[in-house]
Amino acid sequence: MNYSCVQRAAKLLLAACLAALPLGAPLAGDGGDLEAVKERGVLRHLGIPYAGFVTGSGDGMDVELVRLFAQRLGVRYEFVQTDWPAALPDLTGRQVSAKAADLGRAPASPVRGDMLATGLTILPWRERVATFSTPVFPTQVWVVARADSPVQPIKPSGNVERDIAAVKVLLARRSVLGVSATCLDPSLYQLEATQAQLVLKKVRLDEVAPVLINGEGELALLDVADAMIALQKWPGRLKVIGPISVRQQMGVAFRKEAPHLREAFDAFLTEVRRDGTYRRLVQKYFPEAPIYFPDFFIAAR
Amino acid sequence: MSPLTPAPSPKGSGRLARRTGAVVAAGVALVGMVGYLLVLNYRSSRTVRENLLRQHVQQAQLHAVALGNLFSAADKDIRNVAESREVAAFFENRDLGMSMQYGLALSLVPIQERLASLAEPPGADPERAFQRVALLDTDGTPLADSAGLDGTPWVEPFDPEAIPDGVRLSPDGRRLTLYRAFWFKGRYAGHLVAWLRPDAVLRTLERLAGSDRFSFYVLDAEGRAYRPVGHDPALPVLSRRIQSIPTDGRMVEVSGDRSDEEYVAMRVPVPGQPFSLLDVDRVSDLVGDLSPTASAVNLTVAVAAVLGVVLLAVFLNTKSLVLQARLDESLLREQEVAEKHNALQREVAERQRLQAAHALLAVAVDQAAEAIAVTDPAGLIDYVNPALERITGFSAAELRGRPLVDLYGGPGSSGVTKEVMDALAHEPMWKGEMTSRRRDGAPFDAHIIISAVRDPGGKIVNLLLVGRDVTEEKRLREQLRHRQKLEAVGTLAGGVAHDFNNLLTAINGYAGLALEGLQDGDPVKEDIAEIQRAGARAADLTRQLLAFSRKQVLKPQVVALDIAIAGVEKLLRRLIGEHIELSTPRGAGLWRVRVDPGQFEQVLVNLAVNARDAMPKGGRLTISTANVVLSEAEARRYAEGAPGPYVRLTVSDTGLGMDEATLPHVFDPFFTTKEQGKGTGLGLSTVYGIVRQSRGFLGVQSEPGRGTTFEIFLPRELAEAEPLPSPVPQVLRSRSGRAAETVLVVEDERQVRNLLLSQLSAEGYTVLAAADGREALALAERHGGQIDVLLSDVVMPQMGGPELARVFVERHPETRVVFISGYADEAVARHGELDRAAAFVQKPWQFPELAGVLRRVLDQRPTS
Repeated sequence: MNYSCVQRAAKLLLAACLAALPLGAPLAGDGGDLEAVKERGVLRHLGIPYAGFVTGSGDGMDVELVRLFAQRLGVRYEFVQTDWPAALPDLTGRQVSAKAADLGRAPASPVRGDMLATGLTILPWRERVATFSTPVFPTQVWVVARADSPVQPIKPSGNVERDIAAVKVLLARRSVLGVSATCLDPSLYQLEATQAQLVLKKVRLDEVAPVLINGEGELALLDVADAMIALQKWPGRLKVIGPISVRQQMGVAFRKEAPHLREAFDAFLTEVRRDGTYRRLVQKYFPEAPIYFPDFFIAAR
Repeated sequence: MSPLTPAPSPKGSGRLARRTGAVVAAGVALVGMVGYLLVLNYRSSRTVRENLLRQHVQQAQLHAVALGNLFSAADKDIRNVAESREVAAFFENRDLGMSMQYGLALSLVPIQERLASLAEPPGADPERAFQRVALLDTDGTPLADSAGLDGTPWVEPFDPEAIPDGVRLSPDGRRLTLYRAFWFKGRYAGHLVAWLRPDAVLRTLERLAGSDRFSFYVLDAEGRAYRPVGHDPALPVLSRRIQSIPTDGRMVEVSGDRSDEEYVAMRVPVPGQPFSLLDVDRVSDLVGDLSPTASAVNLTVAVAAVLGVVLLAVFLNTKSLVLQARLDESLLREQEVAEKHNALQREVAERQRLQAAHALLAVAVDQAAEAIAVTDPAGLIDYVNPALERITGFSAAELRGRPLVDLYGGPGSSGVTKEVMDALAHEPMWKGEMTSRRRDGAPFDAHIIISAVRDPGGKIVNLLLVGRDVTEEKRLREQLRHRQKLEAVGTLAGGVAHDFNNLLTAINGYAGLALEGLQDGDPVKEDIAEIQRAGARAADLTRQLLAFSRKQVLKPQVVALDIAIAGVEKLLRRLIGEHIELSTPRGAGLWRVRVDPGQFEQVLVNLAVNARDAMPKGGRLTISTANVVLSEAEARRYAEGAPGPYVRLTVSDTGLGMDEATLPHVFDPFFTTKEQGKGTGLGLSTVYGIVRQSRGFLGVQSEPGRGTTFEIFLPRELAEAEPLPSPVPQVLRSRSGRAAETVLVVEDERQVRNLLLSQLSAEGYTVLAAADGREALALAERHGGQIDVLLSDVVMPQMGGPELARVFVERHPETRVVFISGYADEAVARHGELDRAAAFVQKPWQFPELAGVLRRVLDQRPTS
């Protein structure tokens, strides 16, 4: 390689960097890692009212967990409400989504929080734009139907992949409710190939069950956390047909530029699991969870 | 028998025999009584024993009922779970086909919680009945278990069809288990089984039996005893003997395992349950060790003891009688001492009360507002209080020993002492009012009462003087009197002026009409012109009277006084002449006031004329203004003063001044010090009236040879100043030559009404005339055509001018209003100021003036 080639390559690289700068750089005065949070004296918790994680009434399992974490860091806790499409952009400072999960190419947007803890399922595209804590809660997505639906629950085969396949067969030509940009987004489970009539609703996740009961669809996707609550609230009105996803896990998301904050949170999580605080919070907001996911919670001890 | 011992006399032997017989009889009676008591005691002992045993049976029955209730309550709890929404939801979901792996297990969670809440670990709630509760599937598999599904497995197999619902004892006697089958949609769906907590069962029995004597045992139908782990009671009788005990609750005697023990036992059925309650007790535990024989012995000993005690009591009683007598005597003395003590305390209390009253009196005299002095019989001062010191300025030390006459006497009052002493010889007191002097020589008025203090024989031992400084009171009284006088004169003057104005309107008006009808050179013409001139002077006088009486109509507005003064300065200079220097220094940032600018000009003119007349040889007239805030004390210096913020206008001259006798009358109408014909005596009265009507007040200071100063205080007004009215050009005739409009004249005075009719008709107007408001409204209705001007008197019977104008303008919005008035009578005074939008012409008028106002009003109408 002669000098002119090297020079041309360096110029191209510099031009590419300059061109990418306005798109890729988060807005000034935001974010930062652990030291920046301590210096600022405030830990901003991004959250969306969802199940028992963020109740919307000022409490919730994730709210209490992050509040304790802020206390541990010696900073003030601040809750910043967001919504599902804006949650990861608010964290990362880039306008990312499932279909545009390239941090380098996404336009910049304001950073509004330091950590996203709201019962967030760890999905591959999300891992491309953010870094996650050790899992804090298990989950799975099911297909549910109204009690009077002719669709019958599957018989578990002992293999979840086979169970998912059995469920997908039942969806053909039936309307299935989902919520885009969330864990209930049908595109995450390749439902387009099932010939199901996919109906995307702009509702909160905890509103999917009542929407289904109201007859706005025959079937719906529902995560286990919401299913636990719905089966308690409306006994005999809903039935679980079977799984549409393998077992998933939820975690707390951090900016990729904040590894120390994530490490501090993981250390904190280990401690609260050991001293029983975590178990008490799970028992308070999801008493059914340890029964349904005993393996996860026994391991979490 | 000793020779020294006297032989018993027959009389003595008989007495002894009688005594012996009495003793024997008493002994027999005593033995009889003791025997009777022994029988009585034996029978009562048996009755007591029987009652105790009967009570024990009843108690055991109560315990059995309590145990039955415990089992029933536990059964009810379990039934509630079986019929609960949670259990129904689980089976509902299972019926929908849901698998345990996908959703159904969640339905078990609330059941699990409910079972756990029924069987908390011991210690959490001592009343909780269950040790463990489980929901079993039809095949006996636990679906939910209070101990947790990962805990100790439910190892008790049972045949669901063979075991009936209810509490059952386990074969080893260690556990009481409650079974309850439940059904869903008519199918057998499983069982709820629960272990009863031994603590709960045993505590129920202990609570009833008492913790110190536990003797109950729970037996099932086969006679097996409930022996929970940790509570393994050793039965005092052999189990084979238990079978011989009847199960109907009767009490039987059984011998214990130890031969020397005697027991009673019974089995009481537990109501509604296949259990009975076995009670085994030692007899001695129930009724004690007291046998009838032992009772008799004990009773005998007790009787002997009682007799001994009685004898001892008699002996002691004699002694105690003596002691009692001494005690009574001692109490009597103690009572006497107490009475003396009480009398002494009453006396002390009375003395303390008198001392307190004396101290109170001393404080009252010391702090009294009235001056008080006490003298000896000769009238020499012994004591004066602080108020007297304050009023006179003399100290107590200076006054002590001086004659009382020094205090209340003044110049020329040396004979007063005799007068007082003469009065006191016949009357209880002497009182009077007089002028005295303070220590600094200042005079003051005092009201004084002198009374005599006499001894029981009527001889005067002291004189008491009580005095009050009434200087301020007298000054206020004088101010009030003066104000009332001005009010009275004002009312009179206002009333006269009103009637005069109506008369003068007619006189002047008709004189004018007559004049117009005469040819030049007519000898009568000059006479009528003289009548007109006299009428004009009379009109001027009545105007001043109205101003003084404060019954003229004001059109006040917010003005800055310095601007108003500047506007009139030229006129004042012309008035006072060149030999008097006019100075008008004005305060900066002067507050605004609310006055009628025209009337204020009148005030300045009158004061300037007054000053000019006081300075015939020249001098200086100063008109100054300043903002002042008067305190309560400062305001008191003026007869009608009140504290607050004011603009003060000061008009002072260097003229002749006035003496004390003249000063109080300066504002009286017709009071003048000028020679006859030089003044009307209404100038300052007018000033007074205008200032008072403008809610202000004024004062005057003067001394002969030192000039006079008038101070006028006008209250501060916070609103913005309005522009001063520009002089309205007098339009003496209509611009068009002859008027073509219609005027409705409303006037109750016939002469004035007719005059207006003549004058306005001559001017070219179409004139309608009415005597009062109602007639005017009716006339307007009848007329039907447009009425351009309503020319109305203000004060009229039935309906006054302002009310007529309001109603009229509502009905005829195009009509303009012009008021005329002899004076604003009470109705006007009440409203004070007429609507500023309406024009006003004061009676008596020069007709050209009235015609000019009418023309101006008409020409100001908006053109269509």
